[in-house]
Amino acid sequence: MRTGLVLCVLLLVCACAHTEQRSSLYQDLGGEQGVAQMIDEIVLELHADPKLADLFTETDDDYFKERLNEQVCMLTGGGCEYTGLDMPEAHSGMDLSAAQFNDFVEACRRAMTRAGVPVGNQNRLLAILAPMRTDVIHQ
Amino acid sequence: MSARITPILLTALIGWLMPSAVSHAAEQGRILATGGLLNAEGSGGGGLLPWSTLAGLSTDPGTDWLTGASHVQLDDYALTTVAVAGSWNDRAEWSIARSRLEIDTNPGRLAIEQTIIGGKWRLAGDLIYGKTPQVSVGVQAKFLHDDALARALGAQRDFGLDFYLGASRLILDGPFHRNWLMAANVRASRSNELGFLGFGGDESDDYRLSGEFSTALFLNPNWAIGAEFRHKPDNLNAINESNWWDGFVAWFPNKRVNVALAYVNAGTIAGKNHQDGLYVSVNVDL
Repeated sequence: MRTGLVLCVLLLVCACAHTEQRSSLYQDLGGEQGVAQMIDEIVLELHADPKLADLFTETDDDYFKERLNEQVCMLTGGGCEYTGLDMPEAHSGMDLSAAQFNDFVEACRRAMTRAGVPVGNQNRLLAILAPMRTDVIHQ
Repeated sequence: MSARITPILLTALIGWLMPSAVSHAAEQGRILATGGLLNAEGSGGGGLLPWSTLAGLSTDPGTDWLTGASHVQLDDYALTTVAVAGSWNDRAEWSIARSRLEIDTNPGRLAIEQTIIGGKWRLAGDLIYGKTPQVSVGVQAKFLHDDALARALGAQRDFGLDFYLGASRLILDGPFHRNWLMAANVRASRSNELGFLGFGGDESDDYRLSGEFSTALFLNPNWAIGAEFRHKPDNLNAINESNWWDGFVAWFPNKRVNVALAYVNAGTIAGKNHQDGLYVSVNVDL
């Protein structure tokens, strides 16, 4: 009886762990469509934020969005290939500050909230992006 | 009662008036909530203990200021602190606090005040980014203005220096896909009841080490719940000194203002048992 119960619980735990592994963040963000919608909101927010807008005045939005979609897809387990510049190259000559990086993070949060991304998924994505900071600032 | 909460109301009023009065948002470069509150000793951190984070939201280069008032209403005591702190380049912090402990005596009321001047230096790391947690070293110079009770209980001096080494880290995407703050300090101190009962005692007059721990769960970027524990050495023969702990809710509606509420359990203070009650803190980023 007891062994049966333990086995049952073990099976459940394994099943849960397994499902967790199989559901990628990319899927949880709504796949291709969900991520594209989220990135549309992010780019809107970057242009609207008075602290960041100046950095994006000469940005080709269509190109920028395509690269962002590829990058988020690649990083979140969507299986895409990122074809853009690497992060130090992409930000070279901009000399971005620690404050500007944080402003970007907070703009992303606002945009994700508007796009209906739950806090847990926002945290998952930002945790993946955070280690890029050293390749982005002071370049 | 009204005199006790006046600092809180004043700070809230400053927060209300501030946005129209000045604006230098460029210097609040850190992520919302990462400057914390001003603790009961005026240092940047939680309510009862400092964190290794620096008060305000300065990044390099920049300076930012935070002012705060907190009040704890215990069964027989009330502790009120008003403080101003600043940080420079997310590297150094300075603070000054005026702290007042009121004791309900029968009849009447006794008040003990101290001034605390604090400094903190970030040695390494960062709260959020990179591989190393944020590690800082801090000092609090405590000047006790009313030392009669301290002397009567066996305290040796009315001035003390507290030193602490702290580490803190925001764990991104932790359990429940939430961000969790972990903070810990080791403090070297001779303070009795934060210094209100003087420094050093007849039981021990040496610097003693104590541990302080805090954790917070960010439900979302604006709301956090958490707990703190502060170990306190016992230097006086006449009385026992308890460890303190609390459970809190903190609200960060924007980078300008934050508010925290807590249940504080302070155990036994100067012979009076079961001291617990409500803590409120209002902090305004200048």
